[in-house]
Amino acid sequence: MTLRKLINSNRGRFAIIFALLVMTQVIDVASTYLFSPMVNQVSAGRFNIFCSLLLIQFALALVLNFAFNGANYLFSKQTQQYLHGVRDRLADHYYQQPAGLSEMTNHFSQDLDTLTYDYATVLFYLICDVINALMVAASLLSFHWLLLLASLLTTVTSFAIARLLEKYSNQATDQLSAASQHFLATIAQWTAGLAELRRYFAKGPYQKALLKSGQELADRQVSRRKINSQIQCLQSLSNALGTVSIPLIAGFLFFKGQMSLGGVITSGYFASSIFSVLENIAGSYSYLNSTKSLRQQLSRLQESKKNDNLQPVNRMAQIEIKQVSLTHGKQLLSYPDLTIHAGEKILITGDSGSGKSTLLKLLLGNLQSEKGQIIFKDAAGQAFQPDPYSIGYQAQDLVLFPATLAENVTMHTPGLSADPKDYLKTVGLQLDPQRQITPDDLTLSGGQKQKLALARTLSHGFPLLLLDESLSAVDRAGQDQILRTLCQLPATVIFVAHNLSPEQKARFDREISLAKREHV
Amino acid sequence: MTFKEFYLRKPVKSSLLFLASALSSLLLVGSSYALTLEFNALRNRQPVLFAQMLALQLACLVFSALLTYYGNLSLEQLIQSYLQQIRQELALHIFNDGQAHDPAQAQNQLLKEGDLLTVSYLRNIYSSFKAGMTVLASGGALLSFHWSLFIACLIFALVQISLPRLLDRQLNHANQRLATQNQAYLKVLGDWLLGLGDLHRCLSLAWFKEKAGLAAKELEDAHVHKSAVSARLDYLNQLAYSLGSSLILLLTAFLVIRHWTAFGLLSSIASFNSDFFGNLQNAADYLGEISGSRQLRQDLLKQREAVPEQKEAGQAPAAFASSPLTVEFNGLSLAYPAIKLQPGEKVLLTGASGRGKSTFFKLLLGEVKAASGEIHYLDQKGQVIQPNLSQIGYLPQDPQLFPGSVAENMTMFNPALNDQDLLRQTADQVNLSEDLRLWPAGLDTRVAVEDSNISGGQRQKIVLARSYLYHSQLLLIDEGTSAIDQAATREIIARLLKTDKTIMFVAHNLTADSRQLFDREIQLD
Repeated sequence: MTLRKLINSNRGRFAIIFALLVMTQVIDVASTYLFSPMVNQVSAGRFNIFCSLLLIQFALALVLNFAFNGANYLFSKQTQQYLHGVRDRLADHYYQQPAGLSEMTNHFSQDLDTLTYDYATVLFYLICDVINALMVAASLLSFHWLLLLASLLTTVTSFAIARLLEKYSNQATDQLSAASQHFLATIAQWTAGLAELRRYFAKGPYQKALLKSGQELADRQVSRRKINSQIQCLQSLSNALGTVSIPLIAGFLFFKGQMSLGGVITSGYFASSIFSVLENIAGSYSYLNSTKSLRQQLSRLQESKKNDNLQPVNRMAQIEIKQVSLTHGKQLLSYPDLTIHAGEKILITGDSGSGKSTLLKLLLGNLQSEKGQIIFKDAAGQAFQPDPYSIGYQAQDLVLFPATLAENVTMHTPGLSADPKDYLKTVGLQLDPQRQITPDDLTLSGGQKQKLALARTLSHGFPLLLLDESLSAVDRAGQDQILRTLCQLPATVIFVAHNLSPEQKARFDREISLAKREHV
Repeated sequence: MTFKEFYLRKPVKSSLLFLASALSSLLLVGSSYALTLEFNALRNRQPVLFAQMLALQLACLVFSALLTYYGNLSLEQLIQSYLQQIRQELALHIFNDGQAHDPAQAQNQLLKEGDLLTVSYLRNIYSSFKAGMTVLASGGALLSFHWSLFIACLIFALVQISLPRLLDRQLNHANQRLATQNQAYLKVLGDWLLGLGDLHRCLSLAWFKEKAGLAAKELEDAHVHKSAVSARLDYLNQLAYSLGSSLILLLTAFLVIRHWTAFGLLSSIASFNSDFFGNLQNAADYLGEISGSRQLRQDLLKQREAVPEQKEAGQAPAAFASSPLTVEFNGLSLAYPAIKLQPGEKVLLTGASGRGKSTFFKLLLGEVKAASGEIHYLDQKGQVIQPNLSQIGYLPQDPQLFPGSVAENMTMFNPALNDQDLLRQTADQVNLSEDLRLWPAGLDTRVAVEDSNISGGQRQKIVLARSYLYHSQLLLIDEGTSAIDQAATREIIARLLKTDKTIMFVAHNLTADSRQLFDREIQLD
């Protein structure tokens, strides 16, 4: 988020906001100037003229109040409109490069709130204050250049303090964001298994984990407050010097006979208002700076790039797996050399921990091998880099979306003509396609969820299917039906399963059994 | 969340905090007073007195800044330690209330609502106190000039404070709407972000953005709505402020013309006035926001109420007998025949997907309530008992591990069970020994919940080990070996079936010889 982007999100509205703000500040300075003749009228004993001037001042205040609140409301609208765009771009980014759930949630929610309250709102007041400072500075100059010089010196000191300490303030904000992310993740990890924890009365570790992570967050909040308050205090001290220097100069000029008594009063008003306004500006400035690295991070996350070197996997003629090995979870996994031809139906079996799921992730490119190569080749024998999203992959942990069954199959894929009913029938799921489901739907059994996910995968006609235990919760008859369909597809199928019967295994062209290896 | 509770937690530190804040307000008003005296010295042409008053003003400002720093820091420390206590109580409540909690909702409760409240409640109380002290100090100064000035200020004080109540309810609603939308948004994010891979594979970017955008729009509208309500509140308050300050100035001019007060007050009245009204307005705003958060605070208090801990009452069930049960699920219904398991019996439960095998287990565990029919739990001798349902061993389809070591996940963090020999022996029973050998850290291997370093089969073995360690007499296994390879499954089942435990096992894909190990098979049709 930068001021420029915020302006560009709706220039017309921002122009209105800016005009309103300029108006409020002009009125503000005019009201202060008005005070000088008012004092003079009282001094001359003309009460009626004083009253008329006061009435004008009050009318000006009414206009100011209306304009300011209007601008504030419009600015909030502008901010939210801009954030909508940010969310949209974040969605694009994560669509190309997904990250951990709590990290993504944090960026979409907590971080954007931080931007609203610690950046946008602060920015609004900063704009007001800057306009005000300019007008007041011009007024001061009209009295004596020394007065303006003194106020500028104070400003420079204030800004120098903010600038010098900005690094520490930024660090504190980053640490706070990390602690908050960690706390969110901790909550999610422990509350997800609440039923299990209750069953074993494991309250102690649950509480300990939450409190420890919460304490870390609390400490980060305090240290961020500390550094920001230190900066603020230093600035207040330098401003105190400035506040006193103005009457000192004005008094000196007065005793030398270079300034009138009325001039001293009014210049005092302007000086006190310029110092508070400059203090606000410096404070807002250091506040804005404390969100700088967060803003930079978010603007990086709003860029999404597509890798153009990737080719759709439908040109694949064969996959070669050569001497592939990697350490995964401190365990060494190494795979036998394999060549898989297009259209083959391969069953992968092996002990738990032998790396079956890992093999699928290697083929998908989600994991990289440390040694050896996995090469996709086209009909001409030319190697190419496959687009992982053109591969039909079904992980053990299925994802369902809060939508109808039919939508969960067709996924609103552009150009997909498949009829969801056909595919629900193919996988043997006899439920109303228009039924609304939720991701953690209790009315669907594990087997039904697997069938639904398979209907989705099958309806999209992927040329290469990587299926990880995709039938483990489906009954034997259902498995038979689905395996028959799977093995008749033109696609290449790589299927990880235990516990298939010999007849079921026989439907595949080949079975590859992985063995468990020693750890490093 | 109440202020009293906050204050009484650390009375000394809190008192010091408020004392410092009161002092810093007094010093600020003192600097205005010094300004008045400076002006008088100028008018009377007394350069030395003028210089002295300047020094006094500087001292006031410096000490006020130092006290403000102390106040800010000490307030944050107090708030954070109070928040920790609130989190602890919320966490306890969530644990003890026996209900299911969505992680997104728990995140909102434990982090976002607490933060929202500190901003709109405790900080506001502190700020309104500070503003209130400045009002008192400047009010006292005004009284020293002329009583009528003080009376005028007081009248407008009352107007200022009563005004926010007019919009109180609207602001309450706006805050609540924002919190609700926030939670709804987090839920949508959770549901959809998890499936980004599948969405990309199906090229469903437009669909995803439509759904996520819709939820975001509602959140954004709630923000805008809240700012509209706040703007109206501010408008009324500022109106009262302008009116008040104009009338006070009018009164001062009148007093000066009548020579009832010093001419010098004309120069400083604006400063006292702005201290008085400015801070009054701040106090009124803060108080308005404080009462605006009342609903949220009450909700939070309710969420923190201690819930009686589920005690280990009743006996450990060893078997059960159920009459024909039915269950209703949003529009769907499941029916079961009468089922009886004798103590020590080993039964295989089969049936088509969606027939309700997992739900039957949840009925036995008390997590789902039957619409009709009932379950009697039996002890080893077959006598009906008052059951302690937590003593039933249960292996769900998707076993849950926690951030901790493998050993801790086996014992469920019960240090009494953390005995190397016992754990190794149990690991043998569930064929986990081989896996332990492959992990260099063995039993101390850390479980990373998010990027799983533990395979599905290993997870199931660890969870199975729990029911061995806890000596569950009745064991419900729901596809509990679906990710374990065939040979190991056979061994694990054979070993399980040799124990005297009562076992009900749901599985497809068992080989014929594994099936034969069971006493009987119940088929749900």
